[in-house]
Amino acid sequence: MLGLYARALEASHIPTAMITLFPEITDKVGAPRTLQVPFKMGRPCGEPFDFETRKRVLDQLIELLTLPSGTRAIYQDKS
Amino acid sequence: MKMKTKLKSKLSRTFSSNFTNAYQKFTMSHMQENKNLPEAILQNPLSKCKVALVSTAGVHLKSDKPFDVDNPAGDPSFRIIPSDITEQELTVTHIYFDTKFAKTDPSIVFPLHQLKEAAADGKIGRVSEINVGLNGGILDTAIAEKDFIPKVVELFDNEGIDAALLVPG
Repeated sequence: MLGLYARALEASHIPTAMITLFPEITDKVGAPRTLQVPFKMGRPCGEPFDFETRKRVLDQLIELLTLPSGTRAIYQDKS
Repeated sequence: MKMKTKLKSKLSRTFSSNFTNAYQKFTMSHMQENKNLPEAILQNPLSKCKVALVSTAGVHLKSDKPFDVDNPAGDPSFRIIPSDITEQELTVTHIYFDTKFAKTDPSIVFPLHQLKEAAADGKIGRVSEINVGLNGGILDTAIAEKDFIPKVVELFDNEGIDAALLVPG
């Protein structure tokens, strides 16, 4: 459902960047810009209290907003 | 939460964590395929943009009505999460993942604090006053597409939100 929100927002001129745990699924639904992360379901921004990882995830997600629709980024563990 | 829902939650979480590929295939088979990709372009540099968070992890304020997880069709409604709340005011209602981690540290599903830090660091202009919590795991998205998605889009338009970050559950 999140991919549908991404598509509707982009169609309404609001760029989006979306975290994905299952890239095959988000590719199929056509989420415009995705950042694939290696984390578990229910922990899309990393483990509890691992704020260093959290910040890296968010920074990479923010950066993705500047890249073209169709970008399939992969989370980089080191910044 | 009804006993039946608790059981469904337990079974589903066991299935998805032990048979991740089968879970993916099951979800894939229910997903509509879209070949075209809409594209919006940032109208301002990031450092001037107002950015909102959207989550499908079932995040909502403790003072809000929880998502209706007893409804077999899922709950497609949304909850507004203001930017000026503290993490202690947040909770998570979801049956398809173990919520105990997100209840301990909500930033693993809703990194509002880190988004505020990004604003303080000048990486973005500011955090939207309005952010959105949703409950994912809805296979039939017709009601969401007809009613709720257009409402959120309109809300974001009216709020002058420049970009949105989307986080799953």
